[in-house]
Amino acid sequence: MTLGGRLGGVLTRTVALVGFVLIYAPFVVIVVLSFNDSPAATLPFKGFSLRWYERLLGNDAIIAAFGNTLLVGAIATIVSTTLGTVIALSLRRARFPGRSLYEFVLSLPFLLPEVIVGVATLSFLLLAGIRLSLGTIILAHILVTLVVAERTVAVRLAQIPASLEEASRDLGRSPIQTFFLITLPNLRSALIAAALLVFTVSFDQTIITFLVAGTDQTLPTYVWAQVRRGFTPELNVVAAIFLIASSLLGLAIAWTLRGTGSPLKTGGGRP
Amino acid sequence: MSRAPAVDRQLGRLAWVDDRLGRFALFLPGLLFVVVLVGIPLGILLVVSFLTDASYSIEPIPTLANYLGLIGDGVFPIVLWRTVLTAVVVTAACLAIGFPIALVLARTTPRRRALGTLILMVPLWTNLLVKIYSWKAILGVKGVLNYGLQAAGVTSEPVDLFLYNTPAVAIALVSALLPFMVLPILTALERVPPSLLEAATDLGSSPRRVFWTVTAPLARRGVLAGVTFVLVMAIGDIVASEVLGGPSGILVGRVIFGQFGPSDNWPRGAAMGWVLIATMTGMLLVVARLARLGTMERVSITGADPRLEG
Amino acid sequence: MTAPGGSSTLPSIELRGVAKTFGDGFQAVRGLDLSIRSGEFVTLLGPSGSGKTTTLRMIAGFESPTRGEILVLGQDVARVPAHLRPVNTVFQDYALFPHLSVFDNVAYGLKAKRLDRTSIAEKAGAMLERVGLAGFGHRAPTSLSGGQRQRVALARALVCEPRVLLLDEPLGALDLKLRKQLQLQLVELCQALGITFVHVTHDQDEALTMSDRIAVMHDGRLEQFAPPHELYDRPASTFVAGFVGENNILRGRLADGSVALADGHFGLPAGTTLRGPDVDVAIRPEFIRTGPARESDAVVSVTVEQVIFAGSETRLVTRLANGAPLMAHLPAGAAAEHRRGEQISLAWSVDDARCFEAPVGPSTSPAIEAGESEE
Repeated sequence: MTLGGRLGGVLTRTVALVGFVLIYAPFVVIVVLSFNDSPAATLPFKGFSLRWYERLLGNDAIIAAFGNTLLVGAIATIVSTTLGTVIALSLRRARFPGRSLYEFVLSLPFLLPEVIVGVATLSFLLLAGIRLSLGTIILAHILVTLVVAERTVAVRLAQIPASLEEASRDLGRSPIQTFFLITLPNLRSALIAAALLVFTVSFDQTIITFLVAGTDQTLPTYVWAQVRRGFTPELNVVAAIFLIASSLLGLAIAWTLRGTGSPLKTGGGRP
Repeated sequence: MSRAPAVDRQLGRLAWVDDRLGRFALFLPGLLFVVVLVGIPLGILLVVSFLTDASYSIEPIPTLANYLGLIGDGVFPIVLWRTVLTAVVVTAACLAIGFPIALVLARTTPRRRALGTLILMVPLWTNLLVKIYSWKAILGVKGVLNYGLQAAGVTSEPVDLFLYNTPAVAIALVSALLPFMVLPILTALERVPPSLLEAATDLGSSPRRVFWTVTAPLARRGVLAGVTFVLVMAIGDIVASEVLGGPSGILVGRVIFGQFGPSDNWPRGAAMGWVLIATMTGMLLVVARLARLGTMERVSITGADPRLEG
Repeated sequence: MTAPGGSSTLPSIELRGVAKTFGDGFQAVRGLDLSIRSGEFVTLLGPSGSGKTTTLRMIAGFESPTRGEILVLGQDVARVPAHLRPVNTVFQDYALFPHLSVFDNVAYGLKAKRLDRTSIAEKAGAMLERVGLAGFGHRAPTSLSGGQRQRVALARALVCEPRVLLLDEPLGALDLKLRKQLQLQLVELCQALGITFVHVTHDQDEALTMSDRIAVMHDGRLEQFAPPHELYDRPASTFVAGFVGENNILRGRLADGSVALADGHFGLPAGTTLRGPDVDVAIRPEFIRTGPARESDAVVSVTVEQVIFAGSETRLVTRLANGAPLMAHLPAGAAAEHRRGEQISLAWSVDDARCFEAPVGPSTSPAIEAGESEE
């Protein structure tokens, strides 16, 4: 017996297929176009070519933007994962009034529309007299990604039975020793997952980055600036590289989360 | 044992104080973060929305003009209404397409389900801007769709109806947000114990009735999570509107975004931002209300984001 | 007692050569013939993997047999989908719908039958009262205790007025005391309603106390189908002898019409014909005696390994010369003088033992093989 039996089986499958096509159409189109040996940046397909990829290597602006993206992502990943772990640890088994409010505010930068987070942060930076730079981009990315790291670690943390650490204390280890000998090793996969997630979310930021960036550009803000002018073969290549790179990251995330306390697969939980 | 009880008490006290300090030290970074980087900026945005705009500067004179002006404005209410409508349509479409996907995956073999889930999870993490851009290459006058239609002989001239309007924005958003709808529903469906479906059958329900009386209600929590997330993403959209919307597809996010250039009206933009937040909150409350109707299960809107929730 | 009473001659459920092989090649049921009378309380008993639950699920319609026929009230139900069969099931995990109230759970099947509102309310209310849950209708199933949930599951199935009620280990999740209580209630319900109950369990105590007849299953086959006392007194196979009640199973050899066992020889029980050469002798611990033996008795000499005081009786754990264990339950006091390591001789009347052809393969005690560490 299957879920719901044969309920419009064919119709269901057809709709599902349409859905998958809808999800993947942009991927297929842009990757195909990026290899198209045509200056028109569209169909017909005039033969396989890597020339747009080659030309990309000569574009200093893109190379610089790409470097910035990696730098911002790397620093945001390190800071967010660390800070997120600290917050997850501080909230573990903690009961205090306003806890849910605290967690709610913590998740706001990730959940609120990005334009609001962007302009709020921008207002704050300007009022505080902080000059817009790569540093402010990093700060904004930490802001957005922190809760991602915190939730990922918290989920895993909740699965480590308290008795494990109690046993360590019972056997004469100090709280700090216990943390490094017992807690941290058990968090390993969650930390890797958190780092990957943070990096990917950082990789995805366009609007917020654009708002708090000074003259520096990241890959998304570069694309953002170009996209408004139309589509070009070069842009197709950037987009294709973007999609392929983030797909690989996505695969890595899915792989890391597989079998661990995946925040994706354990969604919901008891109310 | 050999120590005096008083000393023991002292030591116990010290350990207790130490423990409390440690806990607090652990709390501090998060607290600081919440207050300084979330609380204060949002507070500033709130205050700014009640200040007076003078060209190139903001006067510290309290006013409601920024909000009242939005009502009198002939454009903003229309754009807001369009945004709400687009978000609702996108959410409904995601549900209509996403539920069947989840159902198909839930019914298939574990191996295929794992593969399907992976296929859904990868786009979840890919850059939104690029996916939206790609739709431009599909829907544009010189786009793939037009090329296909001409090649198939459906049209002789390129059609410029596909791009730069609200439907184009909606299609791209459905495409990008669909995985966020499917994954929580799939999780909910996977958790329905097979024995419940068997029990419903055993008690005389046809497959159709099993679906509507057991499967669908028990997937409610996943639906709620998916709907919440898609709604939030759609209502705050800037990218799709900017890239694919054209003048007729302007959404609120894009209008707000436009208010924050160096020469623009920040107080007005801030006021728009809070109106957007209020609208979004109102819609989420309605959704939560609908989800609670006639069920024994308690449903909450936490767990909205499948990327976040544990 | 097998008097065929007029109307109930038609079997309520009949299985003819039913077999089930799953997609992965696992043969859950290998040719089962079973005829269950109307109004009977029948238990399918067996260790896990014996095919009892698969059998139940085939009757309910959740699995379809690979071979054979299933008849419910004389009708072949092969092509009848589960939701149209005149049977209802009480599930092992109760399968109460968490999104519906207790009342709506009970009313669920009635609504499927499209009864009108008032009669649904009437019937469901009456059934809740019958199971002692009047006033619980508005509650969520998750707020109930295990025993209460079990009764809701029972009410939900019974309110549909099935001709056959299927119970899949309905008491498995409950504690011992509650289980004993509900065992009695289930038997009373069966008698009061005149419905056929088919009950699946791996708990032999439960099977013995509740059933009119027990079908012992092993490896997808029916080992014996008989009333409890017959199962206990006259097991049909080594497996049944070992699975139902406590038993010593000793491997012996048949020669010249008598059994050679360790250091002794003795005759077969009256009416037993075996081909041999390997035979299993099953002798219950309570039939074993110390002290003077009669000429015809089986006598073995053993080493005492443990003496266990158990109130009304004393249990001797002993070992034969060939290493096989032998347990004897002696009246209290009769064994008080025995000590560990002592060599004694034990005896039993040949007619108290059962002898079977030894199954092929190593002579492990089926009780242990089945994982049934008693109580």
